[in-house]
Amino acid sequence: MIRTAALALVVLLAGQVEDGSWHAKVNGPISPTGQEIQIDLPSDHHIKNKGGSDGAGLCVFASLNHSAYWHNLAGLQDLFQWMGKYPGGGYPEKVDRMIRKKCEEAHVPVPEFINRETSDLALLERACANGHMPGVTYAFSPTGRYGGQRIAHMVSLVHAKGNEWAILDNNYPGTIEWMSREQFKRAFTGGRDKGWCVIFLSPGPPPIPVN
Amino acid sequence: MNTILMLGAIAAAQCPIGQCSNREQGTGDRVQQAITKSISAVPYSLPPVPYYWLRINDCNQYALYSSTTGQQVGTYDAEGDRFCRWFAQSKTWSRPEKPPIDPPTRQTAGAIQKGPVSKYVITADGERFPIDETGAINFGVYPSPPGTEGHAVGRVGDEPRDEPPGQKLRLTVIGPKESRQAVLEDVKRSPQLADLAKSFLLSNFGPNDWQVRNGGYVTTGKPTIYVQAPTGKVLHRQDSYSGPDELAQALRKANESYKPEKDPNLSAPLLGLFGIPMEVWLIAAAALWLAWPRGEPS
Repeated sequence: MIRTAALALVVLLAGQVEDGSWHAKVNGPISPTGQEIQIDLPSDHHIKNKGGSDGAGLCVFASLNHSAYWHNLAGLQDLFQWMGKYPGGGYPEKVDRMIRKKCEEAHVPVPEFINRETSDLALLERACANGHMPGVTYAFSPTGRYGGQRIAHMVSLVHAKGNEWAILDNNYPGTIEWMSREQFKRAFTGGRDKGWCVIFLSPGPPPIPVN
Repeated sequence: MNTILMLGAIAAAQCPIGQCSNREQGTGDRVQQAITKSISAVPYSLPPVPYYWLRINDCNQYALYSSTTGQQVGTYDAEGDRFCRWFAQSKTWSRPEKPPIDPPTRQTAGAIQKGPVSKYVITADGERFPIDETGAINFGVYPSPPGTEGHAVGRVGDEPRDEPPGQKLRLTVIGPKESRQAVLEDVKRSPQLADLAKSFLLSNFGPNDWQVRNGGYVTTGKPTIYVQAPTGKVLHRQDSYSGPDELAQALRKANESYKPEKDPNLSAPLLGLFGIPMEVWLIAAAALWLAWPRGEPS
């Protein structure tokens, strides 16, 4: 009886960690288990989403502007403000077109970036591990923002390690939303087989110097 | 004659809500249900705004509703750019006046679905985002227009790079723009540095840039040049620049001496309870089961 109970307790406790439901929470740059965030963009560089010239939202370009700050991309750090004079809304081909147009106007080379629909979460994990800030689609909030309603949104992925993932939502600047890997996957793909991501390939900030 | 002119002026001032043959007033049950659903669908934990617009017909006419009472407050005719307040008790319209919130702009195809009713969500700071036909609030992600899917995107140069670069040594130049420029030009063009620097991740910052301002970097050099391992360990630092030869020598030494397999991993993720992988837990559980003493101790 005692042996059975001990075995059940061990399996139950070990299994608890795999269930990410308790992870989803809005927090700062420290994860629920005390991990430091991988992509720590200062909050004074966070952007609040708004509409373009036709009222359609600019969440895609808000997310890409966050990435431009992070990757120190010349010519793109005012991308969101610049997009305000154009109709809103974003999709892969428009991102390609507008980034090139903006860089051309700023007389800077177009930076390399990945821009595609994918189901490969390992790509996003590697991106964050290597200091890149992806823009990723987001179909709902696991913490209950938006009243649980479906959304068509793009946010910035700022942590993707193990079972702790986190996003910076440009509708809620200054806060970080933490969740499990599975929760992120559902939000990223929105029930389809793929989500859309944009990842600049320039390096992020250098690491803190240590001896 | 004056009376006729006056009556004509009053008639012209009335909201033309009756002139669109495709109209739906805000009193029908179906539209009332849409209003109720729209109110309950306002998702934000931010303080709600008191009003919101609902497009009520294909003639670019919008009803203004109070989100606290659910009652229609007025109607805006986008074609004539006129807003009239609706007095529910007397069932009359006011003369044209300024609406309490900015009227909706004409929507282009693709941004708002056409139909008898369109919905918005309005944030506390007045931003307006559409609710699409699936009921999702759209903050700016749309499907690719027909015919554009699959076009080459995100490709620069001859070979598309589909993966983030792996972890390389970092070469960081910090200082005033002129002093950085000399280094960057040499890294790009000088035969001693150009090829060698390709195996480093190159960044450059002004001394007050947020990336280096508070991180413990020396920012007073002219410039300061850091060579670091991916962990941040400083492999080389110089606070001035005397030409490509000296820097090339430092880069070569750093490249040769750096052994990535010796990097300490202080931030290894803890898998399973207390940092022990789940497989180990299961093996431990099995071992515990087998080793547990059987029966009562004598």
